[in-house]
Amino acid sequence: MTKVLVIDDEEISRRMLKRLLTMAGYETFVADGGEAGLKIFKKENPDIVLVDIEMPGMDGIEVLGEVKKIFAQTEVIVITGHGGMETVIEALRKDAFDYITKPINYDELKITIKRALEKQRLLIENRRMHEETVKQRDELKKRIFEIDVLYNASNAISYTLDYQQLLKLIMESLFKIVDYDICASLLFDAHAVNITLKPVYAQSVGFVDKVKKSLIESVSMLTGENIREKRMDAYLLPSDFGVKPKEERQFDELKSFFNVPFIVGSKTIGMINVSSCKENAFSEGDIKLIYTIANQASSSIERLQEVITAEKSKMESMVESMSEGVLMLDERGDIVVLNPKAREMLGFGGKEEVTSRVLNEKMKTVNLDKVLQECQSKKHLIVKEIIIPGKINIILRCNTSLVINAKKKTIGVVSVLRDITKEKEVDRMKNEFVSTVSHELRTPLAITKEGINLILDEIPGKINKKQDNILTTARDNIDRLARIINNLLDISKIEAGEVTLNRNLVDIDALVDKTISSLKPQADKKNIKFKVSYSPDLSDLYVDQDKVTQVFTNLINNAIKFTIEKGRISVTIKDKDKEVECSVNDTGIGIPGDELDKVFDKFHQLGRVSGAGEKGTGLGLAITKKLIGLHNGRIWVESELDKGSKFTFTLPKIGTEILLREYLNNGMIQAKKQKITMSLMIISLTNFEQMKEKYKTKGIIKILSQIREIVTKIVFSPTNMVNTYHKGETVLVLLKARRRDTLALEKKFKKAINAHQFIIKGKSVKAGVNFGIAVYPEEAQTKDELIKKAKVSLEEREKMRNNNG
Amino acid sequence: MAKTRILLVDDEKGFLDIMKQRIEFWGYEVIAVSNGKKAINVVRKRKTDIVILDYMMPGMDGVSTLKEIRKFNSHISVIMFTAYIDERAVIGAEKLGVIAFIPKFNAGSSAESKLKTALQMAEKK
Repeated sequence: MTKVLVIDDEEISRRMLKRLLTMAGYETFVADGGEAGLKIFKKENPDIVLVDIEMPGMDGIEVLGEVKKIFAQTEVIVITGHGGMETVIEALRKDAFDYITKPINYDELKITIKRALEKQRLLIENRRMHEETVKQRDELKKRIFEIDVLYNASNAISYTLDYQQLLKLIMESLFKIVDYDICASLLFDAHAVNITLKPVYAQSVGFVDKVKKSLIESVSMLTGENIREKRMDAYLLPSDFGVKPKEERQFDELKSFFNVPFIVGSKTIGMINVSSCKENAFSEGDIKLIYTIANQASSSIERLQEVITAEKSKMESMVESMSEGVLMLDERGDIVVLNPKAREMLGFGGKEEVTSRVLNEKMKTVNLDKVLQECQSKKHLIVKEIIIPGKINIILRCNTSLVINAKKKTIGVVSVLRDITKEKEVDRMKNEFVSTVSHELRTPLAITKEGINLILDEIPGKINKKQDNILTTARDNIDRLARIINNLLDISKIEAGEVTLNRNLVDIDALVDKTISSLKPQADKKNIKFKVSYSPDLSDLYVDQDKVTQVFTNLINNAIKFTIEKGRISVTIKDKDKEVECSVNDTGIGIPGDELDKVFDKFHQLGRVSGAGEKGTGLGLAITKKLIGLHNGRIWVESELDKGSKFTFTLPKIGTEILLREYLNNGMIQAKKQKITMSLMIISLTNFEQMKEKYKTKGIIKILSQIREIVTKIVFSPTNMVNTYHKGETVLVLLKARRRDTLALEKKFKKAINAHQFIIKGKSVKAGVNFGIAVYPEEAQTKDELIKKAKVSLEEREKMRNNNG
Repeated sequence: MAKTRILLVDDEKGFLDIMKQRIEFWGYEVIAVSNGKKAINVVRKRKTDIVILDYMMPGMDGVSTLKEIRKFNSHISVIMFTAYIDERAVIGAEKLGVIAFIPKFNAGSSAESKLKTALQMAEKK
């Protein structure tokens, strides 16, 4: 009901007005003066106040002022009796609604009150409408903002598939509306926790740890899952908003913060946090907005996850069903992928839980950890074989390489495991088969050949010319068969890794000379001339003499075979900086282009000339290539049809130091494998400097070569040995030799060398030697230690000898 | 002068027959046996100048046979036949005083010339 307050000092007037207004339907209050009126006004809060201007004490104008002060919307109508227009004007200026004059015309009064009420209603309506408009405008702003965020978020999903990008966008968008100092988010899955933080100002970086902790705690509490145990990845986005001017902030304490969870499905997957160093920094509106954003972010994340999961599941199901084992670890050594086949290969049970720690332990026992480490340090593909011990040992070939993401950053290492146990077994069986069969074939062949030879030598009785011819053909073909068998044996031995190099210093020029002279009779038959260009300054090479001879023999033999009458074969030795390049060039029939890359394959026979021609085994060049490979050299061929072919191969130069280290290395591996000891022995010429002066390097070479021969005869098993001519030393690596054995050998060597007559320039020379010994693993564990130890022992003994005379 | 007596040991009967004929043709007296045990017996009982042993034989192989012989006879000259040259074997056998290793079968060259040279060396010793 509309309330009206009447303030008038005249009682009659009050009573009249009260009756009238009550009758008109207003709840009417009356007061006889200003103070009393204001008291009632404060209590009843009337809509309309009627006040007499002229009153004793507080007058109407004063009352008007007070009323307007208390509640401006109240309409005040002043009543004037005797006052002039001046007071009325003052009242109107002070925002009185209207005035009426005494004596009061009641109709006029009623109309005036109605008008005042109408004005009030309009004002309220107007304000309401205004508020509505403002509200709508704000709403619209927020909507636009939300749409903006959503739009950016969907863009992030379509273009980046990147949480970081998405979160960054959300945080930046939020900043447009919410006044935060730091915004942080946390997402977690089964393996890892991903925290992204965006401090707004450069100064707010100090909060980062506090916020991180608070987030982790909040999420742990909310989900009941202890996420502290998981791997933490934290990303700090740059605070690129700079410093907010004008406003001074205490950047030392977080005064208000607000967390909103990300919920996907019905599962909490993380949380977003806004924090500020101001108290009550976030209004209800802000909080509502953050909720909205978090909801939108959640659905964006959900969609992002769906996309990623869909992509991942394609890859995963492929990896899961691969017949090869796949194992991927991240930079910290945590498992990223371990497919069922890899689990099986590494000997994990079907239901066994394989944690990163368990896997790492396992890898250590099978040396897979070393393979991965090697790959990480060398930064390229590593192919290694490892053995998984068991009832039957399983051999795995591990192709291991680094995993590099689109930004060229290494994010882990992947190893693809292939079970090659069967292949190895088949290989071994094949080799064994070849070698058995070859041996078995040899005996009947030998008997047949000897039988034919016996007849050809006419031991059992005379034969005629025809019989002789036939038997000679038979014998030649037995030889051919023998060659094939020999080659087969050679290649199967090389492939089985049974062939080791017996390196020694070899004069390549002399070796070539010798080879050519042994093949000269065949070349002479076809009138083929040789042209050799040597490399006279080339120092001797550490190679296996027999094997390099075999290489030259094969190549020159081929050249003779495929060169027509009166052709020419050039053999060239070139000294290149780090290697020696040898080539055999003929003027023969050449090799067709499409066969060039196949000539080194097994059982590939070089293009035959129609009709006559020696038939090869198709193994010669394959063996040649393998022999060069053993020396770490390369071989290639250039050819032109009807012009000739040129085979070129290289032999790397190896220094004695490197060779010795290689021997030591192999020795140590063998010793470790077989749990045996290995000794390093230095045999050093006494009075080396005087001897060198007297007999020059050539003489020293002769002496050391002979020492080598003496040693070889005494040692039962083959021994790796190098001669260092500039130091006058022969250095031996003796396997299975304990100190005791080595000392016993030393005695024998000394006796034999002292007794030996070294012949230099036709003169007989005596040579004294001294010994240095070191034993692995008892006395030294590394190559350097071994060498050092042996040298120290040599020096000590030299001193002793000098002291004794 | 009595003929030089050679003991030829090989498990392959065919090889034994043919080699016996050849060596006899060269003017030696040949006793041919097919295993190590018999060979040891011969050396024990009869005066033998040279032993030609096959390196690879079933049961007692050439090196074991030679080791047994060396236990009671350190001076007898020994030549060894082998189907395939094995460096390790050569080094091992040389320590037992083998004068020569003859590859039983080498394409191109023939065993007999090498054997002839080895026999001449053994006779001089």
